[in-house]
Amino acid sequence: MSTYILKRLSEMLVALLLMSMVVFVLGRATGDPVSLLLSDYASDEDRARVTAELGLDKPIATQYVNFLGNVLSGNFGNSLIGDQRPAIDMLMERFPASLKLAGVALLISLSIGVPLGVVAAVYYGSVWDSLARLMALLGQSIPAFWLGLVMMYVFSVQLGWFPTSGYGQWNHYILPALTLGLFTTAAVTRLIRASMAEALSSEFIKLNRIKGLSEVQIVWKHALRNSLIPVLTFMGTFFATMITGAVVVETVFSWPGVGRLAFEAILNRDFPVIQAVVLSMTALFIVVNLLVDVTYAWVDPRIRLAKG
Amino acid sequence: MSNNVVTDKSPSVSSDHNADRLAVASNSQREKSLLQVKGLSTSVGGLTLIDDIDFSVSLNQTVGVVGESGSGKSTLGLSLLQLVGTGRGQGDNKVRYQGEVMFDGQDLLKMTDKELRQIRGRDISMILQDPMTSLDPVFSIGSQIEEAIQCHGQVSSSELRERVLSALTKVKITEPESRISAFPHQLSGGMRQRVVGAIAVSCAPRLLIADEPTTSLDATIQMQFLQLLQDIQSEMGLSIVIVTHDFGVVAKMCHRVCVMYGGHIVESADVQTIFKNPAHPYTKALIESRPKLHEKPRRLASIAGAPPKPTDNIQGCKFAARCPQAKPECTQQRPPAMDLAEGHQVRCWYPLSGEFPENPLKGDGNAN
Amino acid sequence: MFQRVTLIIVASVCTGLILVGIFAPWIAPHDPLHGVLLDRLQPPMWQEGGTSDYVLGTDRLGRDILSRLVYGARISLTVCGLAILFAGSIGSILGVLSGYFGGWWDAILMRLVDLAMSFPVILLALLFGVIFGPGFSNVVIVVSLVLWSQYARMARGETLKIKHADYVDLARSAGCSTPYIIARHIAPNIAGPLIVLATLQVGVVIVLEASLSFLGVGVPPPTPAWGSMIAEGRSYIFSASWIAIIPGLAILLTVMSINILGDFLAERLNPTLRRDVKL
Repeated sequence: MSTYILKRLSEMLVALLLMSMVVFVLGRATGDPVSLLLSDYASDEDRARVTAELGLDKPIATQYVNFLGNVLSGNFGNSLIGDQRPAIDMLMERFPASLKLAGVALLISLSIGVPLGVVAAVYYGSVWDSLARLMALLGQSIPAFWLGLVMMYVFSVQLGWFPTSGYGQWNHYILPALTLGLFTTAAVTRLIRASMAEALSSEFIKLNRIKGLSEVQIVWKHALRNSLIPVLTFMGTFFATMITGAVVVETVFSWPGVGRLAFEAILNRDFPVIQAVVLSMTALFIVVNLLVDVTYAWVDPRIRLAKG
Repeated sequence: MSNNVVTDKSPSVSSDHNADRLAVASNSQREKSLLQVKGLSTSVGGLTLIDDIDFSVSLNQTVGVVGESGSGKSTLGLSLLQLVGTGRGQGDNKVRYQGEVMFDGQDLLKMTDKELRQIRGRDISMILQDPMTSLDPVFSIGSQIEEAIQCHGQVSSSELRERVLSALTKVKITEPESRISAFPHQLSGGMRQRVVGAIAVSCAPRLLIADEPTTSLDATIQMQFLQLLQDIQSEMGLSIVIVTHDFGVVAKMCHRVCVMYGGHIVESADVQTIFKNPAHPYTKALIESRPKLHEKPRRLASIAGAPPKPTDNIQGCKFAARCPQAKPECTQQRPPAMDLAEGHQVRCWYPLSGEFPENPLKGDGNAN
Repeated sequence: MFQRVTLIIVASVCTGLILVGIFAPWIAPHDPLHGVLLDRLQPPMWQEGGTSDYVLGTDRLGRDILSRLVYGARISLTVCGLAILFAGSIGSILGVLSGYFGGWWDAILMRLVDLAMSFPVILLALLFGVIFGPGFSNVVIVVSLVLWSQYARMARGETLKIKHADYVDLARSAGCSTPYIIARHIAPNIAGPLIVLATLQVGVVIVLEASLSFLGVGVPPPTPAWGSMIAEGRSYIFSASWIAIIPGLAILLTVMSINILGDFLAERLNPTLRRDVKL
């Protein structure tokens, strides 16, 4: 068990290292940071001084190590825009809003997606099944940013039920969370439906019926627990979908989260901020994957009890 | 519920046991029948999987259901508990059962789902073919046995543990205390099948259906497991329906045999009659096609052609296409199940032994 | 019956779309890039104030939305085609080699595939977009980076399945060269599932391309990509909602049709999915 987690952890660290290299190389490829910081009229001495300050006169490997050290201590550099605040501060400021939005969306998608997927698999070919399939189809086919706009148009402009944008009150959550949620609900429904269908046609379910267990126990205890295993393997991908969705949805609803920060940084070509967002999201992504692995092992005794 | 548990240990040596078995077999006709199936048909989506099944099982009796794969023998076993398919079919794909399955005086087919669930596991239990897939991989074997006991009534936790241990002991699992917390993947195939057996006997059922219980086990383990079933039977006094394609299993285990072909029982008789005096050409071919240990190996007889599928639309006798004795009229009209002798039924217009009493196909009805 | 009707509709939408993309210059009633400023913000013809001259209305620069949609189909399909071709061939080749030869190379490739399959693509796309600026080829590259891993995984799996099939072993023992075996025996046998995967991905690519364009890291304006059309309509959602809504409907219709078609194909080629009752 612990060796399994360690193995996964080392794989993840390699991934993070790879990503940091990509960001580092791409960062150097954007052009000379010195000329971005100084005006065109700066003297050669100023130039040399800033170059030395930034450590750009050192060999590339040293530069990378310095970069890595900075990143690990949370120093991603200052924003190029406005009052040039540290990128990490801007990120941390925006993070709670994103977390709350994602949390609500996740809650929506789990509370709709899991039961719908289960019922669709149990009553194969029924109305619920059609509904689940429609849900999955829509979730795959509707671009989230457009759905956000349409929701805004219908519920805010036409019906006036919810505010178009804003942050702080409960009614600000409804439209963005639903938009982000549809996306992920579709994914959850699809996964649960498929893995439940497989679990329900297995022999051990038949044996459970032979034992005389009630259908409730069979479906919600045995089949669901077994079908969560394949679903868990998709949680990493699922989280990635969430991040992608968040960037788009936050942009549409002007939600003051990390996704919108990323979008603004793109508009402004604000590389330090982009770098901070990409690397911190990668790190978060890795943490989530690790948690998924632990849960996975907890659910599946075949992994938990494996030796070596 | 638990009053059926027989606690005295009766050590059964194989030879003694065989004698018991024969005694039971000769008495079986007079004994009260536990299960009586009449005209049972199972269909799904307009396809008939098994059709017009009649047979009965007496107390302490073992009945074998034999046939090739696709003959409907497994469907027959599952139909008794109404567990054919995955239970997910809707509308046209729903599995339908017709006829009568009388168990202890009650028709199982007329029961509500809830009543049926009370019967399952408690009165009638079942062992499935593949032990590798028939246990839930994410629950310990102890909790899977506990469930089987708990869903048929509240028991205290100490009694629960006691009964789980006794079920594991019954199937001769060594060190049952330490096995309780094991997960299925930690056990071998033979051990898993014993656990399935433990689940089956945990509520002391009166009827055990075993669907090819040894097919996926190693040859040496097979014999052990069959012996185990016999021991449990004499210890607990239960009736067994054993579904198999193996006449070796039939010879070892059964008092009566039903031979299935194309969803019908084509012949049923006691085990001696089936082996010595088969009346249906298919039974005869099946028996001849099995390799014999003490005979000089000759060419293995086999039956040409393939068994019919439920999708095939056959008017006459289902075996006619492969039957060496088939006459043209055999393909016209389907033979009904007829009594050839006391306890010997056959579905054939021209049975190999005995005489069909009223054969409408033979002009004068009393030829030969 | 119902399924057949759906299938016919869906298939005709897809064919229609391809035809529209190919014959865009002949179909589009107006110039997609240059509008008449006097005709700006005209609603679609079924709304009050709309004219049949601009069937789907005009945008803030007076450009005809229908014409831009038609050209947009061309952009979407080209990005789609190129990215899937690119990612599909590279991914499949890597997968087949990895499956056929195995070893350390296989181990590394599979780690990379795991990483690529679960990584939030949008982050990579944003990086690329900021550094190289928005552009047609960047979109194709970013989308390919997302897609290749699935082909690699599938091609590897399928290759492993048939690597030791009798006919492959026979070819090997008959002295056929490895490239010949791969081209002649492996490739044709794994093509089916890969093609199904490609159809299933078309929808994903269209949505992805639109999202990138919407965020400003896709095909840059004034090229009429569906995603950037919605982005442009965003600030007019209160006054001229059609500018954003109509291109979105086009995406929805297209992607839904392709997904239904893809699901149908996948189900057809994988009959085990259909079997519900075990006999």
